[in-house]
Amino acid sequence: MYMKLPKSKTLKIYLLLMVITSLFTVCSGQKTEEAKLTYAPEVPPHIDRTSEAKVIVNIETVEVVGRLADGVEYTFWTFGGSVPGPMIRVREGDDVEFHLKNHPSSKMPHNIDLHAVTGQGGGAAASLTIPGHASKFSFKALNPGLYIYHCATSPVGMHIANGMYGLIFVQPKDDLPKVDKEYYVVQSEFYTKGKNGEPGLQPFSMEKAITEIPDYVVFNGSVGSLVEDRAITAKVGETVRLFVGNGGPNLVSSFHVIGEIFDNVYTEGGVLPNQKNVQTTLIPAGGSAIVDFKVEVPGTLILVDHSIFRTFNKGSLGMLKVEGEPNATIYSGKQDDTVYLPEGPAIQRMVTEVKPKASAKTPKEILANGERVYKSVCAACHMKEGQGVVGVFPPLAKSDYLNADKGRAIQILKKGLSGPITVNGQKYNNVMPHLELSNEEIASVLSYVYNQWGNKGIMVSEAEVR
Amino acid sequence: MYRLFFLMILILVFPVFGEMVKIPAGNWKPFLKETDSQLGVSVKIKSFYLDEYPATQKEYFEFIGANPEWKKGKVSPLFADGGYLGDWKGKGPETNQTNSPVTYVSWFSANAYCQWKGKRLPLESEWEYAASIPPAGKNKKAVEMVILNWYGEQKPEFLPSVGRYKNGFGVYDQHGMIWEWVFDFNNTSVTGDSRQDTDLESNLFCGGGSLKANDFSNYASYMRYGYRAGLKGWYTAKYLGFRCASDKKNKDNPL
Repeated sequence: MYMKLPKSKTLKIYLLLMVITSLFTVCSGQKTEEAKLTYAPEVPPHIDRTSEAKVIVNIETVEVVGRLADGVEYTFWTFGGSVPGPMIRVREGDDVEFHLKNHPSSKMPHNIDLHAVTGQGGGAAASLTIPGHASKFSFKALNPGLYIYHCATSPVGMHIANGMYGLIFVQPKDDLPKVDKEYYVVQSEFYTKGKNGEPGLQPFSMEKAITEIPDYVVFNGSVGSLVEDRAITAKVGETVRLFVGNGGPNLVSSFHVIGEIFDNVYTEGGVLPNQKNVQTTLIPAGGSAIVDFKVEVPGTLILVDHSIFRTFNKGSLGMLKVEGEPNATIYSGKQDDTVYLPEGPAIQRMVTEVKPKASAKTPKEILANGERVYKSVCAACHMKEGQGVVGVFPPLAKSDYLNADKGRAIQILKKGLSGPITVNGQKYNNVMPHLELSNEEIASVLSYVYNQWGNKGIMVSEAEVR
Repeated sequence: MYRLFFLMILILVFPVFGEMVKIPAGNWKPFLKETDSQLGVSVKIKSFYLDEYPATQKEYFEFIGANPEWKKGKVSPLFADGGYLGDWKGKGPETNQTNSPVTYVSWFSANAYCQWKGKRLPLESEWEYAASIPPAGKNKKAVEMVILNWYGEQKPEFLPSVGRYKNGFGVYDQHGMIWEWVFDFNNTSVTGDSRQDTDLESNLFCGGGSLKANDFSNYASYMRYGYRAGLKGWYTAKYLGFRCASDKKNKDNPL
């Protein structure tokens, strides 16, 4: 309760306080700021200051019922009302003043153990807080790196199993290289009474937790938290940094991004990029990793725990959607889909007849046969519409090189080609292998190519090929 | 005049009158190893009496009627924090709450209530011993299930009436409804005058709990010890109530 003062008096006191606090700030020489906390997958902004500061962190513990999977609810115990809890970013050497508030509606006492803290229990005993109370403790961020924080009130395993973890990044003075995009991802497991997918509010299963057999293994607190419209995004050419944590409580993560290679891995959340070109990195329970990679081609990259049954049956799947221009020199995408007949040298197209090819007679039949051969043999490099791949595989569509000399084209098909050529003004220096085609097939496919994509429309006979 | 009217209403909603239950003497294995005991050693518990139910809102309202110094807003912050009786909108409990356990009470206020009744707060060992007894025909696993289910269920807007869970002695609701004050609630978290001053409650955090536990199977009970360790005598909380104990069978004070 505060006393009602006359307005002018209140104002004077307020002004006096302002002056005192500003003087205090100036004299102490250290800036004080409040940490900007973010919810997954967002990462707090880069800290640009070059001096140490006092950073105030406010986090509230609250117990909430939320979605674990479609139709499945769970009573989460949380930092900040979300799983994972908010991400904290401070700078090496900062003095952190931590306020932990336990919401009055909570049933449980909670506290926090930050792995970034040097000191007993990482702050656990100092921050034990019963519902409706708040605790404060301070620490100096001595060691840079990416650290898990979690609740450490007995029984610890249960507090973690119910969702009480998150990441704190102590930004090194010797900064990490700049990247275009940063994201916050935490893997963890949930142990429910019901089997995976069993609907309704699912209670916690102590048996499953002790035997370490979860029904859910998820990224960012629920199945599907990082897919489709909730996926994280990047543009072709951008560098992406993932701050990845593993809350556990029990499992170790084999973290992998399908369709990318980590250019740099800061193993176990340290600040040395100590490994390059990594496919899968191991993240221990109660540990972390920082991974950097450049996205070169568009598409959807899939974040998984490569203990792969967890991905397909328990939920550990996220998406990184990359937008931009395709680059077929790096990745072509699917170029053809054919039926494979081991007994025949030529491959049958799915949609054409499956019986062995009859000798083509009419131009129509010749062209159809040519199309079959083209799609099964040529399209892989010269592409479906004969457009080729600039600088790598010369085009056959509107191709000056092709249209200039029919005989040369026949020879290339019979013997292959290597060395520099110029097609439509573009230089190519690659190898076209000798292809195992019959004379009839060569004639057919050349006829087909000459009658497609704006070429000169001539036919090539089997006799000419001989 | 107003109070008389209020009491009339209270009497009309069929109040629960709790008896005291005789708890026979027995052996109890402390959940956590105390500094001066050895792991796995049982403690002898003398026979005592324990309230059948936690103190209800109605009973506490009567206590305040007889002891106005414990009225909401009258109590010194030394004896109860700002949350004291925080769920009372007016001078007393809501009419549909009269048989629910009273919560938002401090240790001091609970202690005063029990003394007014001619009783005392139970010792931690007495409370835990009674609480460790499973319901008739069930085993200890059943007790743990009740606790875990309570941890996992949605928080009720209003606490239900007492009388939901009964143990083998006939004591109700030690699990599954509220936390309860005990006389020596701070005995696991002694600091200052303890010789182990530097090691504040380390047996309750992180891995420490696995060093001193007598009973791993009773995992869910850690939380009670963690909760008690976080308390100060003047704290009050939404799910924190109490019941009284006695060395002899007390008849409840008539109104």
